[in-house]
Amino acid sequence: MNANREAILAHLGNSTIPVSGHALAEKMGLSRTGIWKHIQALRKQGIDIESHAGRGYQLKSDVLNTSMFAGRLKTQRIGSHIVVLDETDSTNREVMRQAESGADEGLIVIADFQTQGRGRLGRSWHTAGHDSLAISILLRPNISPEQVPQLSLLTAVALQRALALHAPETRIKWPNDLLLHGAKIAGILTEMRAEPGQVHAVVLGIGLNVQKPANGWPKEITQKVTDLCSSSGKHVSRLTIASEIIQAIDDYYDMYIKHGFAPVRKLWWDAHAASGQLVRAHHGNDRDGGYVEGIAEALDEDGALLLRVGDKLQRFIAGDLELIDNASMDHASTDQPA
Amino acid sequence: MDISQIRKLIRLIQSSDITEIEVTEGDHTVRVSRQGAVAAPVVQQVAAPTIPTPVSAVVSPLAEESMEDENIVASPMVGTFYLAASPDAEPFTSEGVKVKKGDTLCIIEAMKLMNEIEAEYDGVIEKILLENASPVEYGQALFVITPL
Repeated sequence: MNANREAILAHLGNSTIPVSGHALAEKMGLSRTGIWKHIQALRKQGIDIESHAGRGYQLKSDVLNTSMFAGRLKTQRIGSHIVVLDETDSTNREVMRQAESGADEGLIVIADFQTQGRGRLGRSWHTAGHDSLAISILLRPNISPEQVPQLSLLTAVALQRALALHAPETRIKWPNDLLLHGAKIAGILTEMRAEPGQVHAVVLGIGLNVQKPANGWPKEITQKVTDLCSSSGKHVSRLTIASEIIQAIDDYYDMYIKHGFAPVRKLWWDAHAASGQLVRAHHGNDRDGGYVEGIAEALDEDGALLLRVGDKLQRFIAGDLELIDNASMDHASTDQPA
Repeated sequence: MDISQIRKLIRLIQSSDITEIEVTEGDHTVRVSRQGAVAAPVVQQVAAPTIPTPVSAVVSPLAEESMEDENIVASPMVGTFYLAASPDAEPFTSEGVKVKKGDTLCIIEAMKLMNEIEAEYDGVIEKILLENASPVEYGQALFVITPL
């Protein structure tokens, strides 16, 4: 995008009230007519900018661009370089491609549309333009590949903290799904390139439902889903929540580098939807019937979920966790004769 | 004691100033010693009851063994091994198939961290050592790939 137009959007996007053509012209060293021409061009691109007589311009579309983040982030490692794309195959793939050509730690890629947005094991992830946020972050941590799964849980903690600013009931489901009253609001897919003993690149990928699409969720989505705006009962812009997520990841990554996994592990356990409760763990291995049921007893030091199955503790490291409706079970138990 | 453990001892002695290591496991003793600064370590596998004279002597051609070792693709972490991107997808590769450097061979998953393992060189998949969706340990051999 034209640098002036990007700057105009950044000014408008960072203001909650209309900004006058005069003020924009002064800030950018352009004439008011010049500003007006750029506004017209932006409108032609489909961006909704309202004119308020005597007060100025107000941005109605939830657009994002790199300039908008300037001054919003106080990060140490993440966001050194932010790329905002209209469309890509997958933000994780884009970051991994840039990592392979030598990109530095802290690179962020955000896209309005992903043509091949993915979840675990090739499941598709729906990214609906301004209704969603797809964001991927490159890390190059100086840790062993064995420790990298911890970053998958760290991302969940950071995301939970950022979402809880607007929707305090947000909970984590092992290892890193984000739920609100049992409905999925965000997902995380972490990818790594490594060889034994050496991490080359780690990509943290986050997909967030910001608001419900005007024509509803696609039919292919079969699980219960929700979105940030409905859950919090107010409009939260993508710029706001994206900045909060990036800041939180940077903060917890810094904590992890300085103090290791232990503090993150405790925060994770406190935010987990099923700590101490009965769960069904689908490991996908047909030889054992595909799943095991047990009590989620603790989070192991590497991020594995420890399940108490009978008198044994089992480690669960890959698969889908299903929460069993504990509320209804509690209810059933109160019906038992005393 | 198996060959991979002996190999570990050799690496250990090569990367240190130690000149000799002796390890006893059950009724077998293995002694690895270095003769001279640059010479290859000498390995002696000994049956414990006959300690004085090394009976089954040198574990020979080390060169051949280590060639084979280099052709193994090992897992960088504990996790679950997947041969395809999704349960319905075609496997990334199969035995007898040629691969190019950078081709995806498999995915190792732990805590929803997906670790795509890529071929480090052009070669032919000699052997796939695990079934799809099997648990895998750190350093476990996954593939044997003969370089082209």
